Amino acid sequence: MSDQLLPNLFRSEYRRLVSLLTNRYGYDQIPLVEDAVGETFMLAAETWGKQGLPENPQAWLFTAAKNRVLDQLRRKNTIDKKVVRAIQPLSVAEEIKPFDHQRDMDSQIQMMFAIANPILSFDEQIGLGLRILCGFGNEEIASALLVNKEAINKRLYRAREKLRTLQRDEIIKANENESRLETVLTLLYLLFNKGYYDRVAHKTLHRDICFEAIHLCWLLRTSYQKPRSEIPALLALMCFHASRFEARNSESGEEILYEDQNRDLWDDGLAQQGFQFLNEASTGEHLTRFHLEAAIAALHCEKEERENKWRKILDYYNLLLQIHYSPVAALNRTFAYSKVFGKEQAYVLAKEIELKEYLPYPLLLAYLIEDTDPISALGHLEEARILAVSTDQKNKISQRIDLIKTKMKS
Amino acid sequence: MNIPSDEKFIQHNYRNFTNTQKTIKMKDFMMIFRMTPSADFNPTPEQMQQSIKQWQDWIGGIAAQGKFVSTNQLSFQGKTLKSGGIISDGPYAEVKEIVGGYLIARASDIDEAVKLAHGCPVLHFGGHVEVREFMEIPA
Repeated sequence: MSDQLLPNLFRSEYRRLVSLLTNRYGYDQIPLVEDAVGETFMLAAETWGKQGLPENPQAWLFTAAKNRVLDQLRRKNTIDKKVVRAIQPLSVAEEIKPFDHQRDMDSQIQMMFAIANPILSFDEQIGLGLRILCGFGNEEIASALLVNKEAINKRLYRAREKLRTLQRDEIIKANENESRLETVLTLLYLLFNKGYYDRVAHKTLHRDICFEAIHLCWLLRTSYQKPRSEIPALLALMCFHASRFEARNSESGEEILYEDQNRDLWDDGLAQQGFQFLNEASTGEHLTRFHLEAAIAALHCEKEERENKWRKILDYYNLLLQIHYSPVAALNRTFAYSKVFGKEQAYVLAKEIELKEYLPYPLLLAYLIEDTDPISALGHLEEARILAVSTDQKNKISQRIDLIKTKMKS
Repeated sequence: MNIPSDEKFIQHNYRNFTNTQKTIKMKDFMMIFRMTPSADFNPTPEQMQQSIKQWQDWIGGIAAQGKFVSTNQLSFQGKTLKSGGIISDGPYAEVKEIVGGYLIARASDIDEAVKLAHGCPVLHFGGHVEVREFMEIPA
């Protein structure tokens, strides 16, 4: 048995089993179901280690987990009877089969909509998303989110308690509510960005998060009741970004800027997928932020830079900001503007943006002005150095300050 | 230090960001674009493209400050209803200028709103921008 098989199998099966069993026994049983599935995996690791893999590991896991849930529910039921709390009657006739593809998909999509419910905060959505949708352990989540394990435990506990208060109808109807689709896509994008942009201590873990998010989006595309063009648009966006995953960090984990990336390390296959999904997305009637962000990412995936690349990127950012403002997009737009109209004009615009206490902002200002007014650039960099959190960031800024000072002397 | 790439500035903070950095209460203002209609205005497709880009670059600049609310352009076709049910067609022979469109922006005061109007392409075409504050009607 390979070392990789179990974690990978558990990760994908965790979502499937928890979604399926929760769908069957109710969202108020989420903690019980999760515990039962977790215990089943431990049992599996132990038993399979001794006796070897069963013939059908997935079926084995399903049956064991379901029995455990039923067991716990019966026990709970007898106790709860005393406090007159009738849990849903469990009809044995309505048996769930281990492999019912449609039900599988439906319950997983239902779980996505439940977790993206606005009663959960973004942090809770991400935590629970990593746990249930991506199947990561609490320790992995803690290290991905850079908080300690206790904090994660608490966060997940709160999130589950909130889910338990949701009415059954609310959960069943959520995925019929098309406006909710946006919250689900936002959640998937947040998960992806967690993996993609957070400073990486564990590259493989972060890559796994990205690919789980892609997988979830792909599930949604396959099984969502209506073809909605923003789904393939988000999928395209993720594929484009992910295609550069290997080129973004050096062996030692240091970030490599776009211009310096070894383009041979870009994953052509993923980029091609991205273009296909983008094509698919262009059939829709409305333009969303995901369409525009995917279109921008597509231009960054072309190995030969086209002549009007930055003009096109500026066009897309102009539209994107009108649909969906974010400070990141505002700064990226300014950068694109500088590529089209020059740094000096872009600097004037950048000054108008006035983003306070946001590290990339003074860094961009310094970049735009350093050739024409190095003194001002130094001022922006000093401000950036105060805002920088990590010593790595502070060092890089100090190096830049020294470089400008040396240039000024000569 | 290298050129900051487009990617460099993208971070994970994708939650809906409302510009909370300003503590001053922001108000809505409407910029009304007025221009003199000209019969011999007949731009080539390239000029049209160029003009669209100019408008979009200007609007994008307002949006990049998180102050954009909405905008619309008005076509030259239209009708006017006067009292007594008299309807007349455009073009507007009796008016010197027409409204070409509007943009609603959020600003802390009228001066800031006027500052945003600087660079509006209508100014290049001999037109002007009228900036008006929204009236708050008590419920």
